[in-house]
Amino acid sequence: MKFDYDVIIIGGGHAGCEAAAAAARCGASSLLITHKKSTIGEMSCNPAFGGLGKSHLVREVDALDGVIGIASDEAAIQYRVLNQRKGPAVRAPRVQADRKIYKKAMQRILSQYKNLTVLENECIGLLIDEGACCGVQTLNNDEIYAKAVVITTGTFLNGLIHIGKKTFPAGRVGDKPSLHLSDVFQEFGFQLGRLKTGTPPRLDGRTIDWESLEEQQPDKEPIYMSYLTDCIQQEQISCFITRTNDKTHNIIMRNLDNAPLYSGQIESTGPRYCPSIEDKVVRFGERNGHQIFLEPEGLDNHTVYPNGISTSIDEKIQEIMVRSIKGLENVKIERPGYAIEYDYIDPRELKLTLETKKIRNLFLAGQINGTTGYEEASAQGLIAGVNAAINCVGKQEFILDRSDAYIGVMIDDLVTKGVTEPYRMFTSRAEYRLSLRIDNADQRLTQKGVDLGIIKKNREVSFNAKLSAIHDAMNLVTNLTITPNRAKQYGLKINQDGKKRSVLDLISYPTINLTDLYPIWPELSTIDKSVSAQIESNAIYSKYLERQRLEIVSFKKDESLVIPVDIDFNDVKGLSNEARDRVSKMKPATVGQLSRMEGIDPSTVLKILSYIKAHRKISEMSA
Amino acid sequence: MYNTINSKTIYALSSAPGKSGIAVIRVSGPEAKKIGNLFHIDLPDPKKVQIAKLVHPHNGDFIDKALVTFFKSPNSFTGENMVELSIHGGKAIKDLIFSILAAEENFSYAEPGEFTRRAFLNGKLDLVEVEGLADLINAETEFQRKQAFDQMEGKLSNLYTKWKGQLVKNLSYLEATIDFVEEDISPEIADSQIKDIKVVLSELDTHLNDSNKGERLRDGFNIIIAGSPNTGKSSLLNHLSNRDIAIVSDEAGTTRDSLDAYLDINGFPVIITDTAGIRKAKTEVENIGIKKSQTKMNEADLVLWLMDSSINKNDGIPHNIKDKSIEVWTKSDISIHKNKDIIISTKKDQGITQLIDIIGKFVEKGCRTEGSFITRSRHRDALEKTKNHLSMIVKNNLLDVEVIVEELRSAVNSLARITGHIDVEDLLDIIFKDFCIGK
Repeated sequence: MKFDYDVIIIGGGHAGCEAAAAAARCGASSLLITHKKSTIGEMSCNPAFGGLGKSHLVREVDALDGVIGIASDEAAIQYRVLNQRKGPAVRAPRVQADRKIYKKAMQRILSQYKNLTVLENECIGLLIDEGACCGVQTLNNDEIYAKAVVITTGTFLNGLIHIGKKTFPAGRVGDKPSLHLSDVFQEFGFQLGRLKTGTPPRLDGRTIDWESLEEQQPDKEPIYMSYLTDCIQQEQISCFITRTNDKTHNIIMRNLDNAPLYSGQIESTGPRYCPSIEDKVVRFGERNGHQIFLEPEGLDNHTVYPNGISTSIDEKIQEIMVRSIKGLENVKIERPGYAIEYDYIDPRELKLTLETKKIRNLFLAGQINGTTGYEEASAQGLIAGVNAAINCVGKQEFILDRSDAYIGVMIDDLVTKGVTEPYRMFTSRAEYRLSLRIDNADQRLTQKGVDLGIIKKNREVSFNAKLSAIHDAMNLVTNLTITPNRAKQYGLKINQDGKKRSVLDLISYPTINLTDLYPIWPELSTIDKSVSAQIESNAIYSKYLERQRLEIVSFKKDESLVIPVDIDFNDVKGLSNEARDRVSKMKPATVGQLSRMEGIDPSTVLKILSYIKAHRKISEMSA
Repeated sequence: MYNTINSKTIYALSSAPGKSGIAVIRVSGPEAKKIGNLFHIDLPDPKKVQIAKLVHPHNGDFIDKALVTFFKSPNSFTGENMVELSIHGGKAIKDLIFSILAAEENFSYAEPGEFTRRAFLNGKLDLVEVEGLADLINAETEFQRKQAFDQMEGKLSNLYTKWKGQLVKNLSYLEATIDFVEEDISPEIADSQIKDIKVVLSELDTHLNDSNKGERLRDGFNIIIAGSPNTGKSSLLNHLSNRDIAIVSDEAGTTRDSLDAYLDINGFPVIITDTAGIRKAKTEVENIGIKKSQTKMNEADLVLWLMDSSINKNDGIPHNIKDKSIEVWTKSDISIHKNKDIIISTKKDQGITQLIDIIGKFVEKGCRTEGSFITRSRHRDALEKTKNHLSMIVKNNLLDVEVIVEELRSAVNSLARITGHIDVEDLLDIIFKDFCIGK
């Protein structure tokens, strides 16, 4: 077969961009197919990146030389660190991004990849040969052949928009949906589900009474999204906060029959962490108001995104409702809020590489897998893009596990447990949270990327420089010591036990920061800020990091117990029908994954383990 | 491994060992139905009971009249075909039946806990049930049986489940303050979680502080007979062993250490151990024996310190074990002392009943009488770990919230080793139910 490309990527959203860039970095000749070139890198929902869990994903993608971190820094018009007063493992930067600048940045970055081509077209079918995907069919029935295909169609699969009683098919407002692909997946027997998400109305900022509202200013000392960024690139602006009130709530309650979510028009599940204002009022009506963040969508753009009032209620009622809110009394709605229902593929159809189990060389990434969020999409895009590319040359697959990265946590959750609502990253999902921090994503991942050959020279150089700076600083902080007596003279509260303590010992006290020690050892102030932050994190958490290290060792042991692909679970005695169904369908890759599956109890794991052990040599089981 | 277990049919005495009115023999496995052919009886319908005459397969002799029950797979305790024979409890009858079964090629005597293990492998039991049942099977006395049963019924697990529920809620609320910092979540929420945690910690402390009553009940109340040489220690042990409170077994393999007596006093299991006489050692060998006696006394739940009432000079109770010792004067038949509280004669069987009463009171105090106590060291270990993690939180008010959560996660995970796994989805359920999240 003659291939036109190594990898074809369908879709130019956040998953598609990252997948295309990753495949190209792997050296694959790549083709990105999108409905509209001009919407590549479009931020369909809120104009922000990062936050808890999400910025962890961005940093990890960035550590593997992905594009989302650099583009969001380029477009950042407000930097804010969340949980500033909590510890470093749960601090997270969040940026408001200028929509136009982001899109432009993304399109420019992609255009710099020499082996990446962009084609404006629609994919209406997949070319399958002997159970393997070998290309796509486009709208004009052209066939384009490739060794692997990555599908990142977001909410476009059978997308149906609801505004009040009005419904119409769309991928997002103003874009047509992908109707054909859904049929293709159904045809091949994929398990499809339907989810719902929503977006608030967009407001004309010129009609908002800003003076009356609480201001939220940007941080003076920003934390960037990318390891490579070292300065602010755009003018920084404020956001503003207002609240709903009793009047707003009454309007909503009186008009629930015009709200598709409550009239029975929408039956699919939306995210619980991002409820519509209808939901908030119905479920938490007793509250005296729900806060709304008014987020500007750009510097030369007067559109404002009112974060917190996602709605699909009737258009006219949206206007009345919004105008009941302080500061928005005379606001003009530029575009109504809406809900969108879309098909997703049950991610349990996927391997940890995001390749489908049913069709080889076919990869899925992003919202199509039941996730939500730019960052979640981008992280999956990276993994799918890399694996699609290395699949072509038969290299060993690239998998990050739960102890490596939030990316690993997310993909393991998806492919092991499936989803019941759009999946969003939270730091509470990561069992090794104290180890997986934004300050060390590069040290966790960049070397892996270098080994894989997907890290460009400039990043490799700056990464190595950081490593050696950390090395030097570690030497410094372990070799500088002080007696308790002398420490007391500097006002440090430590036990007067006569034991000398190193700088590292001292900063592991919750009350002592590295900067507190500058008067004793001025040379400490020469340590670069990003380096000292990391050393402090490791010191604060040292006890827990050691505990997690031990847990990770035993976790990795279970992950290395590979379940043979040809196992027939019907031969395993004593499984309940339910458990047998689940494992037969899911085909878990390792004993570790098996034990994390829903509805699988320890006795099932034991039975399968003892069956495997009875029928295979143990040596065969270790990967 | 799995197949070899299943290809065998196992049998065992499933009633208590020793003499009894009725004994129950349990047979389980693919060839359990063969019992019918073997003893020339018709098996009843499943779960029906039938009286049958057991006949020797080779010589046609009548063996015993038995009650026969048949359980058809999978509706049996093990999930396999099972037959239960209730026979008269004489040793000769049991031995004869066992020898007949042993002669069958694919039959073998069950390993300890093997019925339970099969039940487990066939999906009939979960792990906690298996543990409760293991105790039930091993129950040697009425109280042990009850406790094992209580555990299966969930008295203990209810308590642990309550704590787990509380801690999971605290964990969820604290996680909410981390992941949903931009939502309207009041900062005081964190403080009130710590208050809750303090309450659980103090309940847990009380529960752990039960002086090992539950484990003692499971493993037996440990009594040591000690004292100077020739005070009559061995005589007392022998005397107690020969009374009808002694748990005597004539089953092979259950013969106990000759220095131990196993008694059932007021329904509690009691192990009485004799020790070497304590005095200033004359030889190295004797010295070793005395040291051993001292170690045993330190580990004992109760020490009977024997003194010879026929002589004037006696060594008193060593100071370090005074709290758990009682003075027992021996040889009352030739006593030269008057007005001793506890004075016995094994020769004349004097004072022994009174001594047993007094021991009984100690045992009752030391073992469970009501409430639920920790019965397994594995459970105690998990609870101790839970407690340690919670103490870290309560002790240290400078911890960052993510470190508090780390300790709390570990605490919940330790507790989950008894009560079962929790998932991050459980936390998210609580967060989204109790907080309006949605920036």
